[in-house]
Amino acid sequence: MKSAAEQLVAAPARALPEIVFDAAPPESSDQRPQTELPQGQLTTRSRRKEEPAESWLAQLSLSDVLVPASLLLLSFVAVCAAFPAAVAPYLPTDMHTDAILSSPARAHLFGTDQFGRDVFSLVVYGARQSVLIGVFAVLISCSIGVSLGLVAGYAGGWLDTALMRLIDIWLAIPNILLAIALSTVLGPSLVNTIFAISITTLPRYARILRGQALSVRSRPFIEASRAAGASHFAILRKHVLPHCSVQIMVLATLGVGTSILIGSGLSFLGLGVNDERPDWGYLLTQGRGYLTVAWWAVTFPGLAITSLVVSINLLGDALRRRFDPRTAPR
Amino acid sequence: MLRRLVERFLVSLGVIFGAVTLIFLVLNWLPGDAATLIAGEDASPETVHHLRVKLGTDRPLSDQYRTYLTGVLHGDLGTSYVTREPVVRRLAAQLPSTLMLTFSACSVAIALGVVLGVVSVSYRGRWLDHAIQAISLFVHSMPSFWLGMLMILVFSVRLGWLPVIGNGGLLPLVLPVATLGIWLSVPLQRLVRDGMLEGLHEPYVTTLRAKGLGERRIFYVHVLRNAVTSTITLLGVLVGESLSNAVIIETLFARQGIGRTTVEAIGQKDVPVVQGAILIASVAYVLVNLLVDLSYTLIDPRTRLQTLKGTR
Repeated sequence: MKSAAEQLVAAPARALPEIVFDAAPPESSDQRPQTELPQGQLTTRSRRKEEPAESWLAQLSLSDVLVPASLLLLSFVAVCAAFPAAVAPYLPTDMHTDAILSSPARAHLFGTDQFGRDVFSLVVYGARQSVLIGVFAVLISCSIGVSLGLVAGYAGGWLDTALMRLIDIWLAIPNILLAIALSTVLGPSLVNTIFAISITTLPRYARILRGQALSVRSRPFIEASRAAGASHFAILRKHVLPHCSVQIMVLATLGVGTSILIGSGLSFLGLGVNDERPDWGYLLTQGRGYLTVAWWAVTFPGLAITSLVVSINLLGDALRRRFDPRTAPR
Repeated sequence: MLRRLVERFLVSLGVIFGAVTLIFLVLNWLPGDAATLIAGEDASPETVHHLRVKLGTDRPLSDQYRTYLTGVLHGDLGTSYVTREPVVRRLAAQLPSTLMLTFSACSVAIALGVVLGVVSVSYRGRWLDHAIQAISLFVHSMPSFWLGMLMILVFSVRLGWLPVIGNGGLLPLVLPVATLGIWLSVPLQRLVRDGMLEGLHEPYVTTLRAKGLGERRIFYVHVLRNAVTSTITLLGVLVGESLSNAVIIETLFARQGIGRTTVEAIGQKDVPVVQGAILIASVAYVLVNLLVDLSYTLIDPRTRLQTLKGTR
């Protein structure tokens, strides 16, 4: 038995019930009214003044700019994560005692913190943590979650019921709280943070992919390959999984952003790693004490997190629009 | 109908029971020993053992679980490792503050989400709509505590309008509520917007037009009502998110509350308090979802029909 709320929101991708995954950029659903609406049907204020052809063009160019821009930003972050020394002007441990809490200037682009460390360099060196957390948390949670979901949806019966009850319980513990509990017990380290985030985000993949598998299961081609003697494992791997690949790709991309946000939250609560290369969340925790005197100490690390997640979300949504048959450009 | 009610209620009870077990296992079974952590690194094995006996963590896990479960059924969530105070009393003292924050934040989120969604749809494709969508994307990609910091920077540090911290009166509540409310309003705004855009193509709109109803009336009365009703489905998610983010927001604004107590307890490795706080949040989340489900069955006849079909 499915819950009523689920029935209404689960099926179409347009209104994902999870806050974390639902990140439609501005232009995502704009195309819909313009391509699907019979022209001149609506006479509300907005419709009347609109020039559909022109604004569709404007749409196109907007997304044409945004996707390369986010790719550019993502590659820059990747470079920072891989070779921070090549980008950062100083080491994260350099303390410029003559310039403590100095505001952004040419010598220190993002200013300095309470120890006289260059905030720009700190942000550059902090990128690696976020990237590692984002990528590895998604790799783990997505692979396990997808497997669980596909098996549950494909197998059906008691296995499906049992797995989905487990997922229900898992999901009953609000988001960050489970990660907090896990990090508390395991202690702060990068591996533990990644583990905690993976465990927390895993059930969402399972639930969504289970729905997908369920809808594929009854298709004739599955029955055909079954009749041709294919094993269940082979069917799952060769037919069901590829069928869901677009969905997985989109979910995984958006999941990277979610994981980075949860990671920064854990770090803010003091559950992350805080060695000499503090990550972005921890930089914010530190800067919080100097809010009144140094706006730059929190503004730039926060901007780093946000712009990274914005780019990821834009990219994820571009993927969705590109491959979703309902919204793909015709 | 009654059958479905009972069924749903039992399932929710099961989920709560499962959640209690899961939280217990995570906090007690996973490697990491509270006694060792509390005693400190240079404590002698005897001290650690003594502490373990005192905390009751030397007993077998099944034994601890049985005690804990019996306690939970009697409304006893254990005793704090640090203050030796009953967890229930400690958390109950913090509950009003957290409820105040989350309840106000959810109200702000709903109001803001619906208004922005409607504005966005009525200006769709124009700059106001684009601006709302762009800001939504940005806010949605922010950590909630960074949004809070920016609010502090602007409204407390720059403009000096509002106090940053404090617990008395309504004024210190403004910034935390606004932060959480704005942050939570994004998914609602999108749901309303998408719901209305889709609603405009529903057959009933054609019928209303054929009846000769004005576009304005169709838009603001019929389509809007359906879209707003659908936001109820997000209520459960909203409560869950606001409870988990209360931990962060309370820490940021140094507010009293369950969230901040949890963070303090984490620092002290006070497992029973953390366990109790997460349990309360989970129970609240499950109950709200149950209510949402049931109310939706009442509001939307379609789901009633589907359930009838589904459960023969």
